[in-house]
Amino acid sequence: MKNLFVCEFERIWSKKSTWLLFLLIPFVILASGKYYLSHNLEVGLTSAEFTSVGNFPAATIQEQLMTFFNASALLIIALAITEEYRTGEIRMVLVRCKSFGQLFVCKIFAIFTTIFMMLITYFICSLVIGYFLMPRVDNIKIFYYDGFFTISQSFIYGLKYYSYSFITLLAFASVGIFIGIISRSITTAIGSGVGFLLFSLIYPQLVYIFSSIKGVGTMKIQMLSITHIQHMGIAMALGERSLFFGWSTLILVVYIVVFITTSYVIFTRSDKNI
Amino acid sequence: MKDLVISELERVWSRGKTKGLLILFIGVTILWGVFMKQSDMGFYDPDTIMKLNSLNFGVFIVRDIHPLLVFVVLPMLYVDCFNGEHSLGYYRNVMIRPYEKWQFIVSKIITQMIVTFIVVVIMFVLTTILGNLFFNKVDSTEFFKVSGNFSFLGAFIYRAKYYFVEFVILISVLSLSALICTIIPNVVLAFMSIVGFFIGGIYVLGDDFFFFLSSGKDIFDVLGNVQSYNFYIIIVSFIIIGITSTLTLWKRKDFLY
Repeated sequence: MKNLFVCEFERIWSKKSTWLLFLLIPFVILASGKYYLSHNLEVGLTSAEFTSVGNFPAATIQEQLMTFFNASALLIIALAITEEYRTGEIRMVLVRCKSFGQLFVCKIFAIFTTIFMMLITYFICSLVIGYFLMPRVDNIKIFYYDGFFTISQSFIYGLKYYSYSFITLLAFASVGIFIGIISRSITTAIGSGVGFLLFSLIYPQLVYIFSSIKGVGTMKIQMLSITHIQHMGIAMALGERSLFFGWSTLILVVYIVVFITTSYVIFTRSDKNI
Repeated sequence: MKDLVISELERVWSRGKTKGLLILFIGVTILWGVFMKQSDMGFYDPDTIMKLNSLNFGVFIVRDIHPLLVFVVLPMLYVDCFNGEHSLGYYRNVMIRPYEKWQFIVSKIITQMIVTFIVVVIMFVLTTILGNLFFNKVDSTEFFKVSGNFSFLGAFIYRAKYYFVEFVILISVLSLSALICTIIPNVVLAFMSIVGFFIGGIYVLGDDFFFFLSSGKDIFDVLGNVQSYNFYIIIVSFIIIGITSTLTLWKRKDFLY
């Protein structure tokens, strides 16, 4: 089991695209840092939107989580799952006496580990780049908190933010794995993955326009989309009053459980791999 | 050359994916029409809005269907044509025929232009029908950035022009996709690079690039003659750079493997 995991992990890392994604991270942070520097000029020093050294890691992941990280998760999944059994590479693994179930478990753990490593790299890079790029402010205002944070407190907040981001990415990756397993070709897998991403982005706006009473109920329905949780839900859940913390965690867990079990069943029952 | 294009078109149509995408595209367009009937607002930008009617509906839906085209439907078609066939090896069966190397890629580009044109025409016809079915019928309507009322025929011509500009924007997407697919040999990577290029461009180059994400406002500006020169420069240079470098790279490619 452990060897199979190591093998899967090595196969993810033997692809140039994985390295490319990791090399892209500093540039993505620089691009969004440039954006936040210009945005700083428009907001006041005491606004939660003002980005400084302390809250740069949390601020810079907020938008990139929806676009860059979700897309990278889709890319890793499509290469690790769909491409392998479309091109037949997976046969080389299956000649060993391992079951489909074991292979599936190792595969998803390897994917999750890679995503986790990406987040850590992003966090470290954003700390370093933020230190050089961003203005230094001692009293930091954070979304959904009344008081001010010191730099060390906001560092802890950043760690919490990244851990919760990891759970949302797991949920998105579960959907991606499901799509990757049922798709019959690589383009279908990646196209429907991007389609799902676009739909998740549009869905909260649709709900907002359609609903007549814009209250707590509407926000709960909007939260059904993973990207909406990534965009606003994390900050709300980690805020002072932990708005919707239970609800959004429940949604994420349901996403993970439902899609991973369905994919497991499909992956182990079907014989299209052979 | 003509036979190559016909063969290419037949192969595009023979994929189940194409039919699936077509159904998805038509379905989403109809659903979005129903949805726009509910909200009954046409956007120029988030602050400038106009009530919808049977004559101007076709124009305002482009703004929302555009991302679906640029990020899902068209890249899937382009990647399959420019990259998938070649990197999976199906294209060898075509390349054994006695044509020049450049003729193959030119036939592919022409085919995808035809496909894009068909997609735009489908959208045009569909939205014209939807507009007449769902929205209250009026004799004349107004548009943004152009003065005066448009009668039935005038509005039809305006819509046709509008869709033509949309088609030109999609052609610039096509030529860039062709270039990216020629450089990057892997299907998944090529797809992601196309999507990433158009989204990343907004971060790097700023709002001049925004019409790839949502084209409505820019086309109104073009038809009202108030568009900035950057728009034309980006579109024309993308088409020229995309197609010429695809041709050069394709001719130099080693097809022996």
